[in-house]
Amino acid sequence: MSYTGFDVERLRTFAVHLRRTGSSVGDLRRDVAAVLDDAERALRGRPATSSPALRRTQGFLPWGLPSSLAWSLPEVAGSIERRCDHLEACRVLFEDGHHVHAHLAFEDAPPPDATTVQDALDALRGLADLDAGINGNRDDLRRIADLLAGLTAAELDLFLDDASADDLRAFGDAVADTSDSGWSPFDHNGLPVGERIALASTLLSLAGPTHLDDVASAFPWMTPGFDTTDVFLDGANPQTGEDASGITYGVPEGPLFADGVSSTDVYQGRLGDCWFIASLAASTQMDPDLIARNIRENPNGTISVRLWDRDGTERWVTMTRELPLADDGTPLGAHGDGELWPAYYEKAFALLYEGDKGGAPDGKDGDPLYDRSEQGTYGALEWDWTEKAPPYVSGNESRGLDVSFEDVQSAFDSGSPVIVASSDDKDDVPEHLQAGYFGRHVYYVTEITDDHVLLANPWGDDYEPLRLTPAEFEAHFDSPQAIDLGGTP
Amino acid sequence: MTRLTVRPGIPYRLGEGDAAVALALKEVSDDPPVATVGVVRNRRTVEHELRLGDHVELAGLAWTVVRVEASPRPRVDLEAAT
Repeated sequence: MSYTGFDVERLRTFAVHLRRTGSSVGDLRRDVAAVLDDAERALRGRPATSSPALRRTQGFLPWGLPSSLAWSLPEVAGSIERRCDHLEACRVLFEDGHHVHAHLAFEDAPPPDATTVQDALDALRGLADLDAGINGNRDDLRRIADLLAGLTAAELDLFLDDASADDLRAFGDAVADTSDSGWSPFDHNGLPVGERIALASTLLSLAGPTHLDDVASAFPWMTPGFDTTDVFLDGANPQTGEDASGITYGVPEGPLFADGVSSTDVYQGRLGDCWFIASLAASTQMDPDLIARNIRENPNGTISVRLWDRDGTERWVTMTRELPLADDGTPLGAHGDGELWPAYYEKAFALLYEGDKGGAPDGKDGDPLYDRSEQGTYGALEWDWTEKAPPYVSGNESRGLDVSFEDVQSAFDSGSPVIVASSDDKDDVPEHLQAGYFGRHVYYVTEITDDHVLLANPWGDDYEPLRLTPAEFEAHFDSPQAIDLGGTP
Repeated sequence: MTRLTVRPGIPYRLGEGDAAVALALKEVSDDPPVATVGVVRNRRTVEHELRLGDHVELAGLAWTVVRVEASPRPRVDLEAAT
């Protein structure tokens, strides 16, 4: 291995020049402003330039170019210097027989430390001999988790070079096993859902290209199962249990985003999770930037989505790009109009959601195949209530509203996305609404005035919104929730 | 032969381009076995009542209704020769 293409000395010299240029920007700005001031005096007060950029150099609080270079150039210089330090530390490690992947060698991160890596390896290898004591293994697992989460990308690469697949898998299994031994009231095992997902997400987001699969294999629960979803069960042979659904995990074609973000990008797929999709679409409509702030693509190709866990703690959930695909190769669940961000939002939610109390479609109540409490699967998302998803999407509890047109209007007008459920029976629905009305379904408000409300269907833009009078709304819908985006950073 | 099980609460998109439609189950009864489905084309939903053995054209394919059940769990199964 060699570091062809990186001349550290020249890079450091370049950083020095950037700092020097940044410190002289004030003089340049003052000179330009003085020329403009002189010219304006000569022009008896008329503007000397029509250029907004030049005009910004005048006054007591200059902003924009060139003034902004005074702080941006030193920032860039600092980043270059940190990357050079990192690269040189990687070179020393290489000479000692340790190999950091070239993609990770020029990171803007603290220089990798072999001792830190060895501490993490020792802790992982010690897991097998761990005497957890009467208080369970949670505190011991947290100690290992803290060591792993503290690794930089380069240190993680070194760690994964030496960690055995069996040790990693044993650790992954241990953190996911929160079962109680039953003989001690102080017994705490594994890590809570949000905590273990945060740990796995950190490692998945940092892993280099040669070790990403190792991390994914260590934490198989970061790939939510689909074999308890209705669409899968309908495809399984009831006698043999053999799958004939055609559903497989794979990487779908298409970009994460196309043409910006809009609520009309959100299409519910073949999962019965309208209660979540409606919350997502409603929030997107009210604040499209929410999505841009809450999804990022990592350098290794993984995708991270920000949600909030059961306790209201912010969690970036990192996933590989694989999704459950239908037999035609398209995402089985949520998707966009040629873009994939809703599918990853849904996958992240499937991983983090802890509110499934069972529940089943009509006629399957009590059937253990359908009606069971799940966590970390797509099956956990099927059939639930309007108040359950908003805290995960926004970080705040939603506000249950009376079935009152005025209350819904007031909430929507004050900036809260509103979702609402249709009643069970469509027989009493007026003729003009019947075609677009689907019972036991969650819709979201897209417009409301004094005389009507428009409800969009989370099934997607194929479906024309329902236009309802206040009386029709109050007669045929219930369980409205006002989603609180107020404190969402 | 393509078989499609239509369940409540889930949209089923069939076909592509001008032929594309979306199908969703609205109501099912057992006695007699009749299902009401909503078929969406160009954002307009049209209701159809389906009985066993009925033929319906969706997304350029001829489908036959082969199963209609309200209990133990609502479903309508369609088959199309492919």
